[in-house]
Amino acid sequence: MLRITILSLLLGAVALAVLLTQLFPPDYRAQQNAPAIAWDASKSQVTSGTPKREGNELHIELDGNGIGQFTLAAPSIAANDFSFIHLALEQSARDILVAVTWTSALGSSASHAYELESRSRHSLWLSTEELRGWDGTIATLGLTFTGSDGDTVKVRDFSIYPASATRQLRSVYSDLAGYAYWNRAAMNTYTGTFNASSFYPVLLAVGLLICSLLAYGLLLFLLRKKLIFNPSVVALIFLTTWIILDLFWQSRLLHQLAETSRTFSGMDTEEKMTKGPDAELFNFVTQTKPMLTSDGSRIFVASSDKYRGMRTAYYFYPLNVYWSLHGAKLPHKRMLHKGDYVVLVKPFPFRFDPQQHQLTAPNVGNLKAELIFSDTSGTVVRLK
Amino acid sequence: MDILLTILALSLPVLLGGLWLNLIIPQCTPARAALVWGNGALLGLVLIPQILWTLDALGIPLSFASAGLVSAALIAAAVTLKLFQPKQLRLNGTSASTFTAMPASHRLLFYFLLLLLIVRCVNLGLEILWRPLFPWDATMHWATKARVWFEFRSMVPFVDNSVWLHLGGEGVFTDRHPDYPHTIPLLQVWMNLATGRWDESLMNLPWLICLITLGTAFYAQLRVSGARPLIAMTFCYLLISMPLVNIHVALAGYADLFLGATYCAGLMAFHNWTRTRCRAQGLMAMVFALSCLLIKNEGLPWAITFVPALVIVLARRHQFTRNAILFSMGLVLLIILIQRNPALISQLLSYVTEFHSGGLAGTIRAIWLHDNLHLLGYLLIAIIPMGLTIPGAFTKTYLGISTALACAVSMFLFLFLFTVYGAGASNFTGVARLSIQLAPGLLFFCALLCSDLLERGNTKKTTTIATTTA
Repeated sequence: MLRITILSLLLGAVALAVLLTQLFPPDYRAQQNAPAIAWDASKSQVTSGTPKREGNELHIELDGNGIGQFTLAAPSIAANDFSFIHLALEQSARDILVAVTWTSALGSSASHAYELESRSRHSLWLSTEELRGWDGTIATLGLTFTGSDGDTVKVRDFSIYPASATRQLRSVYSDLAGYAYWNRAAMNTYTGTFNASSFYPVLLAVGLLICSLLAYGLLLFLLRKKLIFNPSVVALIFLTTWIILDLFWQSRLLHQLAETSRTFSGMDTEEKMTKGPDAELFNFVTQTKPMLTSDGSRIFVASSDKYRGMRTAYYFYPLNVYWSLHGAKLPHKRMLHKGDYVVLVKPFPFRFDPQQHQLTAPNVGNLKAELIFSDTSGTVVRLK
Repeated sequence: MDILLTILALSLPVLLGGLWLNLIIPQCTPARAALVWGNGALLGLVLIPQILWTLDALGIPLSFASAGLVSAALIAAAVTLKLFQPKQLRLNGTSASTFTAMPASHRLLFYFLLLLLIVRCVNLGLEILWRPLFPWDATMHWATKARVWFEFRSMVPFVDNSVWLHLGGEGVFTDRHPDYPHTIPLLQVWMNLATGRWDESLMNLPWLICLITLGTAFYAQLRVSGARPLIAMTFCYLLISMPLVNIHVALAGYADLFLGATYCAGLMAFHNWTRTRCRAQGLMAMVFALSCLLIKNEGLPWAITFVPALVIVLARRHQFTRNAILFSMGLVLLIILIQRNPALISQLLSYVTEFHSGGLAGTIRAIWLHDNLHLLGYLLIAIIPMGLTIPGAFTKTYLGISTALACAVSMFLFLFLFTVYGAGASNFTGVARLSIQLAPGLLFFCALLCSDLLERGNTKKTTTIATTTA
């Protein structure tokens, strides 16, 4: 049973690979005849940051604004001639943003950028078909890094290739094995893909399942004198497919755990908050809280950004906070009292004039107020 | 010291629920230990907040000592009762012998899957321990209450924004959903009371316990329903490996996992009660069905699904009686609603819209394209043909659970296809999250059918071999 299951799965995997590459090849594969543009560090043009070349590697130190940028010194290329990009990078800091940038030469020059979502950057294959704006003639192509002053990025490869079956399979594997950190939408849905992924992992798993089951059927037909149908083989094929799909998910979870550990391990709650994704808001609230009187005053949190408003309100608890998701950012004037605090979290549609001691709020009117605290995150005033 | 207190805070619910269930679950039940501790721990996680709620209602300030003492007293009572309980005959080593009778390859696969589950749970546990509270709703309407109640050591009322404004905020607090049940925030309060300080990581450990208890109870109930250990472990792995279920543990703070766990625990107990008429299973089904109401407002429709299932199971042989009971119940419910709250009906009707095509597309993508539940969507497609190949599957053997699940799935689809909540499917903010409330129950149903089919396949094969040999 085990042998026939493994054989069915192997045949299924081969069949799936053939199907993917033959039935769903990259567009324009047949018309492509340009050679690959292989990475040559000496020919790259660094426009931001300080370059250093070692062999065929390019080291870029980000400039004072935390920007590093280079382009390939290649003549204009036809986008449709190249279906894949291969990247191999090493970063000194984990939070450096990397974007593939290109400009189209056709019509009005348009700049495009695809910010890499996947954090597996040591060897990453991208399908250009999934990059919005990858068409016509490409005048310039390069990479842009955004981080902090002094961060370094080592570029080991940045090549572009025409379509081939192996590159397509490598690109699919890159999509499956890549990982990204948690984001705000993580609780709602997990697609298993990035914006530039070619296939849904679930569909690939279903493809493998169907191909393996068909292979099992074929084996049953060919070896009908020796084999009889065994539902356990079907069950085992299904389980293996599930486990394969799950191993990619488990790998993402482990990468995420490593990131979480690097960011938070060994810290107490307070320290975690000052290092977490809401560090800026938490620090703003922490600085503000001691300035508020603790006589049960009410705190109204207002912001045009729902997330920032909601998070700021949360950090103010256990004080008596008011924040409305869908309603008016501030209630009617008659509902506001002297002594109430209004926390304006940027961005906000209000205007506070410290000289005039006046808070101007749309749909509420002018309110007399005094400044309590203000920094780059927001402003806190007390109504007079 | 914090570690000890945290372990104590996690142990008390497990002991509380487990030791009480230990009193009522018959000794001869297959996988009894897993059944007792899986369901018991889940029950304990629901009970502890109710103890805190009761203490608060009695005017006693919330404290780990007072709630811990009540829990300890209840645990002591369970232990005492057990000591005086007449000794039951125990079928020694039934589970163990079933396990050792498995072929070596099956045992190997069993341990491999168990290992994968352990790795998963360790991974998720560390993620909880290191990460502060992260998800959106957790800081919008769950932990808000926990934060205030922990600080005031009292369940200060939360009211709607407009009521808060009307009252001038005097003696009341407000957040996005003041009407949500108290269980989840009180569970976070309990964890913080244990260490005496607000800790946004440790307070989320019950989510990990919930996942482990769900898996344990799932395995045990499958064993009770007749599944072999390997099949039970396989489906347990399928359940615990679902990405969105994992995410709701790693980024703990939402109630959906708890609701999914209690609803599934209720369904599993209900199914095994219909098979065995074991009182303990019946009691568990009732308690977990009612627990749905204590977790989240969506728990009400899920709890209601037990009613038609129960009626159909009880009156299976008397079609007229069954129809008459169902009709009368519907009529009574309608009359009560009209008498008590006519506005409610118009309010409910105002949510109904025309067919929401975006909702359908979103639901399809969430279940069959996105990796939320791995391949569960495709397993669900197989339910009907699988059920049809088993004589009497939908009309007899699995009538109760299939009725409850059919009602639940119908309500789920109605919500996203014909109400204003269709937007939650088209923009993927609600559909997958709600699906994890039903996914464990649906997977249990799939497991029952698969186990049944595989057993039939094996029996047929054995019969064929025996006939050939003869």
